Amino acid sequence: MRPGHSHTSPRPQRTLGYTIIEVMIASTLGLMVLAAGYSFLFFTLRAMSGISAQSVMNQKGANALEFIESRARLATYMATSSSGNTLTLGFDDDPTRDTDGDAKTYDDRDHYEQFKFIGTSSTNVLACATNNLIYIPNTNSTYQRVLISGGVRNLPGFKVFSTTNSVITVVRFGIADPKTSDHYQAIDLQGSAVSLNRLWNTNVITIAP
Amino acid sequence: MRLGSQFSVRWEKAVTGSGKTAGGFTIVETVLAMSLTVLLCISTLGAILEMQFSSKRVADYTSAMAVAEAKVQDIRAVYYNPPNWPFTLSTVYVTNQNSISLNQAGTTFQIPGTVISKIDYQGSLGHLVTVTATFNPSRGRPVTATLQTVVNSYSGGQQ
Repeated sequence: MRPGHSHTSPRPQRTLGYTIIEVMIASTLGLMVLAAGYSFLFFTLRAMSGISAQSVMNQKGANALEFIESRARLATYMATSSSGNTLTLGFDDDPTRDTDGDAKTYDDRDHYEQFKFIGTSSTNVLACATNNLIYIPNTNSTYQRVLISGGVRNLPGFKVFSTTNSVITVVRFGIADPKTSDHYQAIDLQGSAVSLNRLWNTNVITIAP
Repeated sequence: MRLGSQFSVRWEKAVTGSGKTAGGFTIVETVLAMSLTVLLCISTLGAILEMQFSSKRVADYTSAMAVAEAKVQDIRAVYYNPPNWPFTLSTVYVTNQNSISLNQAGTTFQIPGTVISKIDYQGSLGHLVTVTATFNPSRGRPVTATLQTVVNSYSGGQQ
């Protein structure tokens, strides 16, 4: 478009300004530029949203698994529910006192902690949108902390918690982002939580496959 | 190149009619500007796609690291009673198969891999355990996570 065109051309006064064709072409081009800009921005923001969601998921999942393993390491008791959705750990609060009267001061169960998978047991992303993983620091208290809010799911064919020989708990879960607008974001974690404070008669276990 | 000042000069020429040449940009200038814009857009999109790929790759690394850590914990849970297996005087290798990266439908793992545990006798120090989890995605380099630990009679769980 050349705005100065009307000053240099010898057109009659009544023809000054832009023709309807010029205006339409200019509008169309302007709209195309705007649409391209919008698409670029939309795609960029959506991709950035997905990247952020994936990063948060990685951090949350790794942190939750690490936390479960660190608590299990100090536990004197370990058990899972039949559904495999709850892991209960027992702790000795005072290693100098023998509260259970078995002549050992270090293997008591003075308080219990729980990790709970709450929601629908499924591997489907949408079905698991509201599933949480929570931590209860003391089962005698109602206080609980949400470790992962939303998107926690089972891995195919596995329970979230499965305990072997009261010593080792295999933890398997995934996190998936139910928001479909920013593509598919997910992570799956498979870990082992081992009690190093276990009884002598449970020492001999095999290396899990 | 100062596009702004060139544009204002051309605009002024066009409006006042003082220039001898016609106003507007030449085809070379236009093509150059468009090429630069397209190049900028493509590189930005490429960078974003690469970032997306990288964040997914971090997820795979996190999964691989969890698998390696699980194996380390498994070995630490074994009763340390050398020279009984697996804590023998010669190096022991334990190989396991595993897979990570569950698909969107939640039915299958997409990246298969191998976990190799090396248990190496280190004299009075005990045994050095090296666990290497290697997963082979269809795109990009293999995802490898290696963790080491020492197991001896002072390790936990040896009551």
